Amino acid sequence: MPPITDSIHRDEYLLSLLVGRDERGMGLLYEQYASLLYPIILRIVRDEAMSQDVLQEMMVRVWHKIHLYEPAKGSLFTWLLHIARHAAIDKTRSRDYLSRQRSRTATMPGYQEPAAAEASETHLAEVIHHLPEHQRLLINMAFFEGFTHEEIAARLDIPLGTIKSRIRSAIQHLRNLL
Amino acid sequence: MKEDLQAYIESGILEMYLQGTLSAAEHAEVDRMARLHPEIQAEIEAIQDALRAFAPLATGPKPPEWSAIREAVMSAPAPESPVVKLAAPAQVLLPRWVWAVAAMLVLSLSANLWLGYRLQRQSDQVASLQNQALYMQAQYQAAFEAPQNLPDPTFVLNGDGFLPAEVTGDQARIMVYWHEDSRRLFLHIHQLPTPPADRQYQLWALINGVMVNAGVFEHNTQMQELRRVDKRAEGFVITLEPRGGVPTPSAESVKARGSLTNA
Repeated sequence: MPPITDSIHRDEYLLSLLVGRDERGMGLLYEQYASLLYPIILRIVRDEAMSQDVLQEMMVRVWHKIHLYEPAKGSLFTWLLHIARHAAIDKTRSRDYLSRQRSRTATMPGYQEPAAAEASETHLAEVIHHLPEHQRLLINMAFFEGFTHEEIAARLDIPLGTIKSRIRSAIQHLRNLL
Repeated sequence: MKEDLQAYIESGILEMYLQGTLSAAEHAEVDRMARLHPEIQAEIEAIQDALRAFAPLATGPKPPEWSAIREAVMSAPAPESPVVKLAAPAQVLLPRWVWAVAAMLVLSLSANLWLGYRLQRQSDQVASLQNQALYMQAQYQAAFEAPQNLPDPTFVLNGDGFLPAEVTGDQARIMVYWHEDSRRLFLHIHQLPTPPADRQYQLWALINGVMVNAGVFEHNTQMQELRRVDKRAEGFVITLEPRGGVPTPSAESVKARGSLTNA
């Protein structure tokens, strides 16, 4: 596999693999986008196991429908986001989902403190460790745990009106550290 | 122009784009801006790269490894349901009112379904409405392709569960409707001056004295859904801002205001 230096070239390369029915393209696409799409699915489905099902189902659709993606109409991320949202919405209308909703109350995972053992395993972890704790929490909740801004404001007890700017500041700080 | 782009980037909208929390119209607008301006595309990619670097260390639920689902994905038969193709806003041939009326058709159907369902199963009321609300979003685009036999859009918004607010200003009259159970927010433009090409209207919900961004909207789309507002607002304010919106409004940008009333 040739070295890939930026997102556009990564997308072009993986698209060329997918259009050519090369399975490596799916692995690359999953590596690039699963961590971004999964929390978005989780925010809709509010169930970890069923969100994993949705992610798997949408990957099947991507593999079989990649010819429908038109780069001129939007980014690959946007196309994947459409598929993810529709797959998640379909799931919330399924009989299985509704019966699970009736049988339990708490569906959304609670916030977990970052695991210190994991955070010391890589050099990257050491770099990110320099990110202030409150910024790590914000990035984690906003992008990886599927929380809405309102939920973040309530859980972290910070004004709702400042969430957007705080998330941007946290991302900027993270970028500077990398 | 450079300053406008920088303000757009610093508004935080690109982070929301990657969170998947923008409305479909706002998401399409970011895509359009990214196509027009390499600086914006580069910023999106930089944020994506930072998030990918962070992802292995993120806490909370994680997606399974590709190796764990690869065989299931690659051996699955092709899905029967069609994948929704991306709409290209710049190439839409149908007039904008079709979108608005089509959305109302969906809203009407969903509301009727919900009402029937509530009568039958009181205990499932909340879950049912949430699911219908999500389904409405999916059907919004589907209805775009079948705009025939459309009902009066105000029929549903004046119905059960919607709290209206009349937002008025100089040559401006907009009805904002907040659905108390689903927390969804719609607006119906009766009158609103055409803004300059580089400006866009933005709606704010006033909640406990804080102006909460409810999203930007187009002045020439009569009926639109904006961002979900999780708490009952004391009122709503419309400002005129640079395209893409701003994180906090200023007093001089206010064009209309109004209070939420009990239905």
